[in-house]
Amino acid sequence: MSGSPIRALIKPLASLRLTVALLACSIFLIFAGTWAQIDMGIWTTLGTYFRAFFVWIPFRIFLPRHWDVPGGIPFPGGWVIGGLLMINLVTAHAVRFRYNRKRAGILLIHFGLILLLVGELVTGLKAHESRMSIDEGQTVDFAEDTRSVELVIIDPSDPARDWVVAIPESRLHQGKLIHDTRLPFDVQVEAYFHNAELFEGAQDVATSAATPVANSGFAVELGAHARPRPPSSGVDQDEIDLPAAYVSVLKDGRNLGTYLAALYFTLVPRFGLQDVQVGDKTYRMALRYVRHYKPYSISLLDFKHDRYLGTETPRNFSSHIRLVDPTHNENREVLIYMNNPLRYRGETFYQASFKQGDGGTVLQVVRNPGWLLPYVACTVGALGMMLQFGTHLLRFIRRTRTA
Amino acid sequence: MGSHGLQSILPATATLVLILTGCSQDDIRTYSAPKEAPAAGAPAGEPMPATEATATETVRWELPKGWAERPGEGMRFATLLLEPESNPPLELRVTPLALAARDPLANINRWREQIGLGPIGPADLDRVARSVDIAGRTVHLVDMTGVAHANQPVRRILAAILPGDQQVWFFLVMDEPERIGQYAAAFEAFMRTVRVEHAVVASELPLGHPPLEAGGAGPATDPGSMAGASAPGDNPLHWTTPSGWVESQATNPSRLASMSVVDGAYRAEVTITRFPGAVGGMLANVNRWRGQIGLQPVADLAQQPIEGIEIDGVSAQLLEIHAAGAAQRLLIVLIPREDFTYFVKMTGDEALVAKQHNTFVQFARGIHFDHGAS
Repeated sequence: MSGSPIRALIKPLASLRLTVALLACSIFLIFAGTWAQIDMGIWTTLGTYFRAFFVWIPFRIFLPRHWDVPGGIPFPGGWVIGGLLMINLVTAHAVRFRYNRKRAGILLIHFGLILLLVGELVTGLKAHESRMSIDEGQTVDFAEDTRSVELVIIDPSDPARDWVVAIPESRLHQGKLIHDTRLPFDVQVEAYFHNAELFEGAQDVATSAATPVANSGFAVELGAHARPRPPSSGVDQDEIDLPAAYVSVLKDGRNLGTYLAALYFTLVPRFGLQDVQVGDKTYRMALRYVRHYKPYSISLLDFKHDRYLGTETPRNFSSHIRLVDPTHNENREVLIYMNNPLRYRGETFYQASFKQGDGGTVLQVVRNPGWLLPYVACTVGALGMMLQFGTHLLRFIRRTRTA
Repeated sequence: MGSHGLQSILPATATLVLILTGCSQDDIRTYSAPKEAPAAGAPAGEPMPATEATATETVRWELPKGWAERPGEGMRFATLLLEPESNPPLELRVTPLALAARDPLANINRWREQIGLGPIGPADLDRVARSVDIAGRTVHLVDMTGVAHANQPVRRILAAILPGDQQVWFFLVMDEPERIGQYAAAFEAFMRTVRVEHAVVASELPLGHPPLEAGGAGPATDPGSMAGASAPGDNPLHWTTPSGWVESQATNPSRLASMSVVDGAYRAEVTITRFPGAVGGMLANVNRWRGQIGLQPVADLAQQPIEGIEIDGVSAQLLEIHAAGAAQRLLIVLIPREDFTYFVKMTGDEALVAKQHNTFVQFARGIHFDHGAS
């Protein structure tokens, strides 16, 4: 293949210089991404810097914030650097390396690296994390994705089950009219704030004239208004973004009312869902975390927060749960504690947090089709290293004996 | 590896990327789910949803001598009047927010902005706020004096941030520095009497239902008073439900009563709500109601006919809000009584509400109050 045009094309891709340059780029990207977390949450940083093709790195992230230095540089994101590293490694094997027994160690190490890169690709694209928050004595059959919200319109007319239409956050742009045959009415997004502050009192005191006014629902009953706030940084994990939207309900072109839908209402249990009256039907509406209902349910029998005797230092958190899955004839009790998650139907339930006052548990629910890949990659890499260093050691011993 | 290796690696990589980058997350999705709120009657054996269960946290305090207390309104839990007789009043506002809002620095910086001061960083927190232990909770006590700005006089803030188990509680009083100054010690002494409490609420109760064991009405112990309403136990109103009207459980904390009227395809809802004070004045309310049925606001109350009506010896006002072509019509009776305004309201399809006009007026006239209750 030495003279083939394909080979000529890919040869630069296999260059060792490119490897070094890409490794240097990834070191710089990690450095910048770490500094960026002062202002952005870890998940925003992950999405902006690492699970992105390109990123704009502002100079100010490396400097004291009050200097307020403008400008920045475009830089390849994690997808580009990781992708090129993989291509570099694969093409290097295709054009440069020779395959023989002596190189088996190196091959295994590289194969381990490729698996690691593929593992991150699979995790980045396919892994899904959510949270299940359960009070003691409560049964829950859904998990919430606390990184994204959706506007849900619920038709409660069926006495057995609710029918839910969920509009993702990505569709909630200011001024957008959402028309969809699955929705019982059209939804006009008057304003959307990714992070909002709710306040009481007269509208004109604290908001600009551009902010819409709700004339129906909770906002009217509570005298509440919303105004935008800057997104919360990831430094304090207790600080979260509280999105809010002003939405108008339109039926046959007629405006039936403007509502304020806010995540805040969902988080404070005394509010919950607000009613939307359309003709003779009452629908319910909420802006809430994206929910994923499960075909099984989990009841929290007991939550334990053990502390070291005489101190407030946590020793162990554990959730004693009952898993009921009629479709798989499952009905069993499970104890979930740190480093001992429950794995069930492709998902892993970790003990993640607990509710204030130890009254309930928060389980992290992770579905990651690639969860085994890093383990396999590390094992393969370790085997490769053992083989490589072992071969060298044997060769060295043999040489010293002959000498 | 040669060309064979190369030819097999490249398509394999391309296929992997294509498989992984498949579907989009941006689509509207639909699903059927267990009943959300049990207002419509959750079927037996159906699992309860996790988050919309119980609102049990409240706060209690010992009211210092000479102070007065008013139930909250809107998002406010209660208002304490430090000088009940003076005008303008000196108000201490008690407001609960979701725990997510408990960061002292963010709140302090919001207050600083209100009194014309610049933001501070974490290092300066100790300068403006003091952490004290009150009944096992770390409370931030804040004392800040602002500067004159944008036609605003110099103001001083005394505030406390009390983290509860379900919510964070803010206590705030803001006024001229001289006026506030004399209360600095009393404020801290008052804060030391504040306790976070939990009422026992059965999770089967509908949203907004008052706790079963809410002993004694009043803002300090009754979570229902969050929105200025109260438990049915201290509902001072009595009425006779007209025939054809169906009374339902009031599912909102500010509601004293909720009824529905159905006539063929037409529907209307009757509610009685109670709010402290004058609730923004008549013009603001009229424009809010006009907005609810899609009408433009009016600049002058002369454009809105208001009829006098007597309810149990109290002078009340009757308004009918409608317009040619509007699909909905509103009938409202406002009853100002003692410290509260009661709203008796019928909202619904134009034809039905017009037809029910006399029944509604008769219903409103039949309302009477417990003597001595507000």
